[in-house]
Amino acid sequence: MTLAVQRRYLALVVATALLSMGCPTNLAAIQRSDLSPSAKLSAQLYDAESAWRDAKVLAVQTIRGLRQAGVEIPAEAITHIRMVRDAGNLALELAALALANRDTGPTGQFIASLGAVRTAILDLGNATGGLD
Amino acid sequence: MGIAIAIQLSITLAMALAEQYQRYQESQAKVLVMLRENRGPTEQEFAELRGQSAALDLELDKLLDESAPG
Repeated sequence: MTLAVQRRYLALVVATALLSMGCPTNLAAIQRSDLSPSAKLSAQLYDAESAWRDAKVLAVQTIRGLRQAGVEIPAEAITHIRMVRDAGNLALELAALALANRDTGPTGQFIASLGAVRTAILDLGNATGGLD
Repeated sequence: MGIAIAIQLSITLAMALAEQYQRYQESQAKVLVMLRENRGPTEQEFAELRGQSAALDLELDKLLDESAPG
């Protein structure tokens, strides 16, 4: 494997992995708390959105560092990063809608959002090798 | 050349991970404060968080646009 290929591979692996690192950090503490069920859901959503924001910070810093190091980020990796970011954003928006509509049941907006998340995940699966 | 890139990448990743750990602690502390106060997040707290997240989306897009080969 040439150095150029190694660098491209490294950039692909690092950059596409970064946005996958946002995971809720306080789930157990929230579940153990004395909050009402509704407040627990709200805290869990906030926790997930915080972790996702932190993952974006890490992605921005690392991509900036890769560029400073002169590492080329392949066009494929750039596309995948955007797809992962968009799918994550859509999923959190869907969760927020579900929380907002928990007393009324699914609205048309919720169902449209659900469809958008499904499409985003399928597109991502197809772009990265399939979700069979 | 290869070693210099590897060293710079290692430093970059180490710094990014250190900052990520600090953010993790801050995020954890913020949620734990809410739990101690026996409350969920307010609309204002959600709005601030979503504003930060949207700003990062713009920054990420700008960086990716600038990183596009060719």
